[in-house]
Amino acid sequence: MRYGLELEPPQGPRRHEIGARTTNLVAMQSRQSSLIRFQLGAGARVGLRVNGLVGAIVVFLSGLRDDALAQLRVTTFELVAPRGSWDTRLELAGICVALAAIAMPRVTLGTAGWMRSLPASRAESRRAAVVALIEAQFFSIVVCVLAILAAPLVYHAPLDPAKVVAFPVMMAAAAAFVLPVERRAGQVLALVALGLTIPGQLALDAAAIIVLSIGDRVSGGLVRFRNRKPAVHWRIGSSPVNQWMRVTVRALPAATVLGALIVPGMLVVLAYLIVLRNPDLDVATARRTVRVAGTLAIAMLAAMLASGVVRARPAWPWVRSLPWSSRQRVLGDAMLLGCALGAIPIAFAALDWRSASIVALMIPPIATGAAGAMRVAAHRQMSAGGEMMAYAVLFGAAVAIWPWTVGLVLCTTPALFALSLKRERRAIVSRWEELHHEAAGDPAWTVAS
Amino acid sequence: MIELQDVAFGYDDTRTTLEVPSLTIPAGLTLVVGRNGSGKSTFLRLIAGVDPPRRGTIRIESLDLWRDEVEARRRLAYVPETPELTPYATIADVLRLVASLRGVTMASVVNAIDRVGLFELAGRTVRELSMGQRRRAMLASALVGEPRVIILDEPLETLDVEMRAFVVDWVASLRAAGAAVLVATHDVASFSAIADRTLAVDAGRVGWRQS
Repeated sequence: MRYGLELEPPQGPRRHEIGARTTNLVAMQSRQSSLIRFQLGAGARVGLRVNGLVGAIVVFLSGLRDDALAQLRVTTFELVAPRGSWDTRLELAGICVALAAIAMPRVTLGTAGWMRSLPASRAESRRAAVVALIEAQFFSIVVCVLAILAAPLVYHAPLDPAKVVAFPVMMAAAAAFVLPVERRAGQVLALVALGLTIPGQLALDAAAIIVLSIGDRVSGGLVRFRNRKPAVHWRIGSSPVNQWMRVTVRALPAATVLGALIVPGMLVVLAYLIVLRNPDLDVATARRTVRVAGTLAIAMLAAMLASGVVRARPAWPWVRSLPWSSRQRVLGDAMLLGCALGAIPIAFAALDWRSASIVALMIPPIATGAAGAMRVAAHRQMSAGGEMMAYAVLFGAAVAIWPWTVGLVLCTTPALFALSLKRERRAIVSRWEELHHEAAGDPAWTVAS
Repeated sequence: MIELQDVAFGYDDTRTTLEVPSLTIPAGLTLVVGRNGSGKSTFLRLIAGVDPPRRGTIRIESLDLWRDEVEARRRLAYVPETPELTPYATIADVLRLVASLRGVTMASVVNAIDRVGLFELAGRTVRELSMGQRRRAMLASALVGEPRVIILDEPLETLDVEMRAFVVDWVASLRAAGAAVLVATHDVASFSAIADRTLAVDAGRVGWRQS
């Protein structure tokens, strides 16, 4: 065996042995399992990555509660025990849909194109995608398994069979709901089935299975998934800086933007918790906390967004041949990042507007620095992140100890802009492809290079 | 081998992109020519069963492409102009799927992948390949098994000289074996010596070109 290419015949019967018009169950199962194996190995594998992130957010938010352990008990009961309300199961259904929806574009990529010319029916291809999307809900599966184990073993509570049975139906319904299919009625029925699984009652579970089966019959094949494109405005008068910013915004996937907000968001929450939960904290320490958290949050957000832009936006060597300047491109990036970073001081304004103002003054140098870091990110192991962390430590420490140094930090903006400009002019853009491989989460590429 | 009856296709309900009143394509090499945007690739995608027609029927060896989905497709291989493979699969993943669905042994896959010179790269994901290598991977998928209807959309694009010669030789051998080969190309000269007939696509209408 080499590269997974086995020389022995594949499992299952061979076509010519089955006959010319094979429609028997064995052949169908063989095709179905081949498609499922392919889907699990390709799209779903990549779709799984987001599970770690979702898990981290859920654990973080749960851990913030005072009564986290008591809440865990209630959650377990609501999920699998006879008593309890539907709240947790409703949340779980939402998580299932979210995980399936995130994985869906990857799982369906190519399935509505060339793969349609392969000898498999539309229904078989769709069912394989449903199975792959169930796998992509790995976090939900883990939660369900842990709840099923914890209820009898930890909390000595009986399991409710109706609630347990509903889990796989719920996940299949979530997967079927997000899949783009020929007839929308299939998605509507999947949504109905999903709703029926939430209460966790045997009669409703049975109804959900029936509705899901009907949905399976009416859905038809997969159709091409297309992101909704914004309307095209052919405004010649729009400035090059605006055009550049618009290109960047469109290139950034929503998942990258949301992912970039997680760590800065946690820093903001942490600062609020420290200040609000410690009434004895003196004013100076509270303000210092906001300044440090604010600077770190700004630098983190700038680093994440800058790295995201480097990966998502093509370098477009051709663009550099157009009659516009490096200055305009750097300015466009710095302005765009600056606008995004404005969210941090706004978030802190309710806690301490004075410190939030100081944090806001840090935006010009950090945004400009990030625009420069983007230009050399391709050649650095940590992309734009390493340089941004250096700025964060340097500026953050200075401003935390001596707030007045924010003026000096602000004065570094022209120097940072000049540095960014120099880097833009000298940038060699041919490494974008490699970064894009890493961005898409392709470990084989990273290892190969 | 390929029959189209009153076929119409459009990307939306308001406009018809392609219309084919009645057409039978026999075995042999059929070139599909036309200007950019005339509908060549759309025509091939319809015959390959990638896009369903708005109306009409398409039959591959008398099997309706959308009623006998599996059996009709078992007889055809399609190599698109843009290798639209899922980027997260390895070449081995893709070809293993093709072999499994066509019901052939993995030895056929190894042979196919070796013929297109990708054996050493079989473990790489589609993302890691150059455009030419992706085209080779798609060609390898058409070499798996013994399809009787082969649909090639701009098969010489992005390929090096050696691989172009291989494709032309392969098409000639398929023609000699009695297969129906449809080739959409702007490089007519490369296939003119072995072509049996030419289909012209112009503004969504398809017809035979007398040569």
